[in-house]
Amino acid sequence: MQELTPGPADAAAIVREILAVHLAEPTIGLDDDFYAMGGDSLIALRVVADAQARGIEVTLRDLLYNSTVRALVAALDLENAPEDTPAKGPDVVLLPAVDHALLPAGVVSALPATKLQVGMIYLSERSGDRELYQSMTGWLVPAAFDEASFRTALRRLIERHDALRSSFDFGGLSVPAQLIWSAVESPLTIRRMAGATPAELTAAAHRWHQHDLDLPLDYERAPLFRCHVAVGGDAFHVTLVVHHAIIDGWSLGQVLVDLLTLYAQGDHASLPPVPDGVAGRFLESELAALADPVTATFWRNESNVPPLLTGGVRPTGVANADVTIETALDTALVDDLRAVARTLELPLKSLLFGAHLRALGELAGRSDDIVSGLVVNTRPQIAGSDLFAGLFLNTVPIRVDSVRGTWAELCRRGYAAERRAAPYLAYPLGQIEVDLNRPPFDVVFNFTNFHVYQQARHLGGPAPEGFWVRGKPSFPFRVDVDIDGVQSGSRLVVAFDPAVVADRDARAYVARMADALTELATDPLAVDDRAATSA
Amino acid sequence: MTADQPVIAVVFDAGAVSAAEIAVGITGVGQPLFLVPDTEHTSHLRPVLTQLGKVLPLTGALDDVRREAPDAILTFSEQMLPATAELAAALGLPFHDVATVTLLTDKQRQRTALREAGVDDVRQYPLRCATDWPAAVAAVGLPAIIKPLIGGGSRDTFRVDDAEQGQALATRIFARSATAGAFVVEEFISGRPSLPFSDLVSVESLCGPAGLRHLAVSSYLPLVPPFILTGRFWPCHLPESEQREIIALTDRALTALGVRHGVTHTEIKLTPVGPRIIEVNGRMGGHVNDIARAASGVDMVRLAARLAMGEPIEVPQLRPDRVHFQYHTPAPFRPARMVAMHGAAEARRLPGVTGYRVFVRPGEHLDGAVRIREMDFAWGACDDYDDMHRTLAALRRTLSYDFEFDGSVRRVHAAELSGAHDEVASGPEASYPVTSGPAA
Repeated sequence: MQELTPGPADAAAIVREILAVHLAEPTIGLDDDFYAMGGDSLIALRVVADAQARGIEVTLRDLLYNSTVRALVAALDLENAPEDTPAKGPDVVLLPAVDHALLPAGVVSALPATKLQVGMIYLSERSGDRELYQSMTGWLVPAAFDEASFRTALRRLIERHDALRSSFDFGGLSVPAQLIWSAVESPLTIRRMAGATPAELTAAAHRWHQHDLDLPLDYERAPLFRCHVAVGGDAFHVTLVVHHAIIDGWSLGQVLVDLLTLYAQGDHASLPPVPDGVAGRFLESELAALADPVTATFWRNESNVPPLLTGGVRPTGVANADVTIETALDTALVDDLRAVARTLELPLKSLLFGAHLRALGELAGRSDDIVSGLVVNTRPQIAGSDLFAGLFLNTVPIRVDSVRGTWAELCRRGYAAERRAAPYLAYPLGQIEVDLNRPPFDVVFNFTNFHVYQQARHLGGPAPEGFWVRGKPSFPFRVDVDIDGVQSGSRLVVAFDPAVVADRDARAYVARMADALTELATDPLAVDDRAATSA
Repeated sequence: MTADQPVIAVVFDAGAVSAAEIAVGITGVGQPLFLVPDTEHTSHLRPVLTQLGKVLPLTGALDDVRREAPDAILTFSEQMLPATAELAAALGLPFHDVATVTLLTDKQRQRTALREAGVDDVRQYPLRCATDWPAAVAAVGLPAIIKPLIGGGSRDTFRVDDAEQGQALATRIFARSATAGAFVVEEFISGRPSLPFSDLVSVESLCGPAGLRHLAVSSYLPLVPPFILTGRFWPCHLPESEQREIIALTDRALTALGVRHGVTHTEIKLTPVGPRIIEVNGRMGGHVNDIARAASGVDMVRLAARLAMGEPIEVPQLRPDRVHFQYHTPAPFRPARMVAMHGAAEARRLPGVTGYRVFVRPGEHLDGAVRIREMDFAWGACDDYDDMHRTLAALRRTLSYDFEFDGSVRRVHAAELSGAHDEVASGPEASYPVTSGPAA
């Protein structure tokens, strides 16, 4: 009887086939939600009856509780699995079966690493740059430090997020994999500085992370993060250092808010549950994109224009963007831009991106075929996925055929280009670069709205202050627009590698971008005269 | 299912949450015992219910229920509130008490209680037959609304702007059926201009040993006249200070109605003079559990079950990171048979849309004004309110339905049914008057 029961891979295929029939859809993905695809409990009854008829021991409850094929098969697998099987978690079905027995003791789940993760780790190893892809954040709490409560909060945080208990394996299994451990050593260090003022604590924290960079996080050892607390008399400063390969900027903010909540509310903290299967869902979409020739062709076409700044020379080594220029964007300007965005029915991001495209065109002396890298969010759209800590972003080339015309036209063009790219975002940048045999762009634009940090103000107890965030990407010229940062408000930050981009060019870009935003906020229908004359 | 789990009696009929949501939600708290009235809905769903828990007839002997020794009792169905309160009293389990359920279900007594407690003063007059109309309009004035004395969900609710129209409507209501229930005429509370949102909001509350707790203020998409909901969204678009005012009003209303143990859904109108109570319902709002789970991972059924078990509930802080929305296309006002629907797969692929379900199957008959029905249900999440409006407009452009009206089949777009007339392409197909009001 045992050998007649289909294995997980077969079961998944059979259930997908049955669902496709009852939901009248040509195909059902591993992560398509039964309800989202139109299912209800009566359809569920028919699906369960068919699955049972084909040898799958599934009940109505199983399907209603696990509304994706991945979760359902994992739940069935879990119930039937022998007790000593180390791997669990819904995403483990993505790891080749041959690897399951090879997982070390103490690993509770594992899944193939994404191309993006592999690329990040490869670059940080190759560059020898210890700062590359180390994400750092810190804040000051103007109150006495309760060490026991903090340790409990940190322990619960680590239990909550798989990413904080993970490491990578790049040789022991048939594919590069991210391993999730049942437990990890505490990453906490505490430095007591009796009588230190808040300013001295913050300074000490910055010294600590400079020193910490001498001991970079080892991707083969969990946890891939550290936590440092500098404790003064009536204040303390917390610093988190996390490997970017396990966490993106949004997740870093979420982890920070979770830690603050767990510390402020102790046993009463009730954080909403983190959903399963988010990481696996992204991995699946990456694999699907890599296998799709239409996607590869799309990106080749989007980036197949001469580069703007570097003349098409493939830089040797990894860019070292260690010079930054920071400009504050005042609240009135941002409010005006928001109003213009509403009038034009465009997201605020598209206005800033439009201004960036024109400033970039001027820097390169070109009005046609402008390509800029754009950092995009690839977080799977499933309930509660925002609560899941992981790496869900990509940087992709966005191409506009011209930066002429009115601001409104330009911003719409950028928005349309971004929307056009939406179905293809899971295709990893590294592969676009391989297909093209050079970097597809030399300038990257990133827009961040820091509203997640605003939650930190409403937790009760002394409000944390002095938030800072730091990270170093691997692009020669990167433009960051931050909106509503808790500490520094809205700002424009340009980070560049002076070996690739001249300092005066970077400054010219910043000045032009600042002017562009003012013009855009004042008269979005004006034709920019400089763009017109350079045409 | 194991014997040592607490038994949670669920008085089940069509309501705010589905049988599946109930089963999933109460897992870990207890096992369900479904007590079902003999209705079309429950006979339809019986095969599902029997796989999810034990099923007993509601009208059976109380002793049968006692033998199951339920540890808790609750309902998600408006029409089951009185029966649930009586059972709870007989079994000695916490629930809204019988007197409170009367105030929560009888809209006239509810208004009286709110008036006496000084919470709000809305003119009202009972309408027991068509000849009551002249006295009612004299007492209440115009504009007014006519709505059923008992019930919720904007069913059979009409706005009246002149006395003659009101008389005609009253005559029609009572002529329709000799057994038409009692109605009530109520002063129309004018909202303040609120587009592109609705002037209606609602508050979900839980009351138990820990006292009154309010979970969230929901905002709505603009209503289709007269009072048809087309969707809701979280988080609420109003400033925090105004949300606090809304919650304070809800608190006063629930206290006035004597709510001590249970879940409530309070509808509130935003008016030029501040928020005013439309009505308080003694159960969860429709689809609220869906949006709570999507937006914040909070299962409202689980909270309600824990509350029914007598646990003190502290509501979690809801933290929707994005704007989460729900959308319905309302059925046409004229009787029609649904022939086909188009665009479901395309709707699911729209950026910002998470899922789409259809509630009305081809071949089904829709009875027009008698009962306004949600034909479908789309949900999703967007970066901000503007992005949500763009997504909704795209949804309304994507979805369309073929209806047979009086023997001829016409294609009607969701935009038209949802009252978004500016989105409707002009042309003979789009001009069929399916939403011109219930007076047809």
